[in-house]
Amino acid sequence: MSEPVRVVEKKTIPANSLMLHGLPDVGLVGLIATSHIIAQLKMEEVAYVDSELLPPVVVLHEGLPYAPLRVFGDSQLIASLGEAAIPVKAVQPIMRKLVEWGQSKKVRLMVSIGGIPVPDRQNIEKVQVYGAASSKELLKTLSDKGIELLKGGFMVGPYALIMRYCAERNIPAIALLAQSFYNYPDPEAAAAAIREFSKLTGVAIDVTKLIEGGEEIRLRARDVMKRTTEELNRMKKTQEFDLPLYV
Amino acid sequence: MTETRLRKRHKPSWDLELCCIESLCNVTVDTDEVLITADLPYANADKIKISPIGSRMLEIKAEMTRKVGFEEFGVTHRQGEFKFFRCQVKVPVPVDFTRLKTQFKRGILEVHLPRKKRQQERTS
Repeated sequence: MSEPVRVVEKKTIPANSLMLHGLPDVGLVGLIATSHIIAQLKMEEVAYVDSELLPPVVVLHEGLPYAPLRVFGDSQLIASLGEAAIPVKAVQPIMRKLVEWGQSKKVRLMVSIGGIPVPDRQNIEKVQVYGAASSKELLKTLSDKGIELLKGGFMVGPYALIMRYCAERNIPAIALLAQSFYNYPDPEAAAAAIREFSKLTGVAIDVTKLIEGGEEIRLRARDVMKRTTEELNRMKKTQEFDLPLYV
Repeated sequence: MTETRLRKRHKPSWDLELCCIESLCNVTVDTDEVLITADLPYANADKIKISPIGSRMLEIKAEMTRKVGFEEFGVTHRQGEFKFFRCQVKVPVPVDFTRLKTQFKRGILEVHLPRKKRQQERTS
């Protein structure tokens, strides 16, 4: 029987890379931010995810077909990018596979970029970015870099699983979550998350184009956002608004 | 499933006849009001029209500051341009459309609809 999820490598993946994850989630923050980073650093496709759990979809770019979930890379960074909503039943096996694969490539740190939904987002002028981490040492690193910690609450979805699987396997992992809209594409939140990513990793990324082209991105990302919201609702993403129980 | 329901469920997010793109929108029901928001990038703030349809539906139509064609989405196998955003939202509880308040900030439209009190509901 074939594996339900495979990572098909197209190029050699350098060991000791930093692995970034940009998957469809609230506000499409991770997808927008990671697409921008890939374009700015001129990263190339190095692998893609093939899975019978994903819908039979290809993404056409300049007439050529590509898998909706791909991995890009350069000499120091690799980045997973999901261009279409991941069905809820596929999230768990795919995240597990991405983490396993990253470990097999001796990734030194996994960084997930995403959003944290806030109800009154349109009234927030300066977007706050929160950090979560898989170990106490990394929480200290985040604090030392001036990134506010996400100390309590719930994480739901792909990044929650990446964090859990990384913690299980002792892979250093961090999530940078920017305050964002729940179901509207949020390039401003993506830019805020990139700034913190640069601060954390030292990888300089200019976000000017992202800010200036914000309206264009919001217009073009509508349909992906709509499909992503349907999947987020299925995985009960709104649980992130819930207050946790401490006894 | 009826043909109409199927068509409704699978309809595209654009309408060439009406030159409209469907906007993303959201409905929140609070104790005192229903808040409807819509994401309207490129919308002209002076050309947003909000119209109740019956007692339980609201239509938002916004003219964009520029026309948008399929080619801007990288789509070359379809032809056409869009000039408006449009969405029709079902209002889940009785509201007073006459006291509707709006705010348009950074491309997001907020429509505040005060909920009707029980007595108002009976008399209307």
